[in-house]
Amino acid sequence: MKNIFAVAHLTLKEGLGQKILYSVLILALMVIFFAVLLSGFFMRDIAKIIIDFSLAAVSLGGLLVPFLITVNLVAGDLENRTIFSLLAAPLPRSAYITGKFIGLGLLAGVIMLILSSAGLLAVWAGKMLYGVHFFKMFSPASYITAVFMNYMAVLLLNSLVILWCCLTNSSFLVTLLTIASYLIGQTIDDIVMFISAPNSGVPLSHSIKITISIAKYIFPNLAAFDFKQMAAHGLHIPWSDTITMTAYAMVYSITALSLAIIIFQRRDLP
Amino acid sequence: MSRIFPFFFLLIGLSLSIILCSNVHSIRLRHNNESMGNIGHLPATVLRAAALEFHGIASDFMFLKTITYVGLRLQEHSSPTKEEWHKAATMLRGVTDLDPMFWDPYLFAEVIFPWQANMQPEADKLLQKAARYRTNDFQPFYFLGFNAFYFEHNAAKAAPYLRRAAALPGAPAFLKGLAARFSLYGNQTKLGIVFLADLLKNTSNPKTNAYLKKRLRTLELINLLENKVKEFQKATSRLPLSLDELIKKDLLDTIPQDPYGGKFTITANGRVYTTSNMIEQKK
Repeated sequence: MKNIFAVAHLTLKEGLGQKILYSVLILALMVIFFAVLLSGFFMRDIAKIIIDFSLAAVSLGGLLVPFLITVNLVAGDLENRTIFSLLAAPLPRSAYITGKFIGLGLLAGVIMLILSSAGLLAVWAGKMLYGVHFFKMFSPASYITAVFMNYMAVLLLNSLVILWCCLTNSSFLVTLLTIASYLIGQTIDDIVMFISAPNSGVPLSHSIKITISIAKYIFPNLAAFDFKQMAAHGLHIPWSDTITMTAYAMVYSITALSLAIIIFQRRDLP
Repeated sequence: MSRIFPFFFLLIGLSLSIILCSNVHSIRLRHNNESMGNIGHLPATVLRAAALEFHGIASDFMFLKTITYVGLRLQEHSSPTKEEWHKAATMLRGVTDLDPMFWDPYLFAEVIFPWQANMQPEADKLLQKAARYRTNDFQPFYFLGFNAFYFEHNAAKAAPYLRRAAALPGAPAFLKGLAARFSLYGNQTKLGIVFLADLLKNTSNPKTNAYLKKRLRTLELINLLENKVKEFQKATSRLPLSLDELIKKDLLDTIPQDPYGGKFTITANGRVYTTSNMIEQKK
């Protein structure tokens, strides 16, 4: 346990050491500025525009971790062989993987917390500038739940990136696999809906249909974590949905990490 | 010499980019028209899949593009062509496919299509969609009712919409008796004034506000002239042949100017209308 937290702490420090916080703060300031400025071009849905902007920034900030930092820190460790200095200490490989996952999760948490606070600040600035009347529908509870659900999706994607890192040495390949997982995760549900629609107008072969059905079960349904639209319209997000999605993210992450540990333990490091 | 080169290229680069800037802008403007509507033609599922998890922000930008497109054409003092209006409508359908609960596109369609583009059925279609997704909002039914009465002159069609609107939370108190009061108004002008004044009260965008204020001012002038026509009819037991007769009868000092640059005139049945049809006239 101690080993896991040591790796997590080191990963978080390493992540923050990449001066990522500066860029996140710049992004946060841009969100406040542009969201408030741009919302003035709209007629009534000013709060929706500001929340759309804020939550999109939270998503982007969160995605920075799996797309850039995880690949850099985990695949980079293997590619640059810096992992040997870590594994030379009596550190089980499972502790390394789990510690990395927790550290990266904390890093994503810090980034998303800063950006979501910036979003709340933008809402406040919008209220001051345009009047409370346009913000009657804003629900802080829905906003926080949407951010939390987004965080769960990022954790899930992180676990997948770690799995890809254990499968290959090339950080380029890991990046490609991550992009593919994200795109499939975001679109698979819509594609399934599209092909099952009676009048989609696109004739598909049986093999494509089977491939899509299999992909539906293998790849995570990342789109289901997207509650941004509900939060933007101040709609209540049911607790049952939040609990189910959290359980789904945890189960999927644990499965992906277990597989990563099994592969990593059997792997001959060059 | 090698130290001077970067500055030399920097200077040339800067000057060239300043020169090219306006050309690039005009290319963008030219292609803006062509690209409009193409996105909206995509099926809703494809559009939603392409936007990944950013449906909200994608719909915001798409809507912004639509209002800029329409605004640009209106600013040029030319009413957009039928094809351009249809492109705008296609885009609005795309925007509302991405975020069906986004109210601004529906409102924009209601404020522009029936009044400016003679496309009330298009606005109605979008409002029906709004009613499906915004189940607790009185506004879609309120506007559907207004359109039926004001543009179709069909009180029987308007009344059920208004009754449904009045039953929803947040509906203004006046809505409850509006269907019944239609006959009292006697004409559409007063209802138009009530409608536009209500829109103005809840709109923040300065450009839309200016647009609505101009329309409201025109309707108020028409209402004023129609009242004077009634006074004339009361005094002479006949309708005036032209608005100039109101001046001769000392009911008016002068015929007011149409804010849109047209001319107020009177029909055989005593209704006042403007030759501009509330569309900006070229100067």
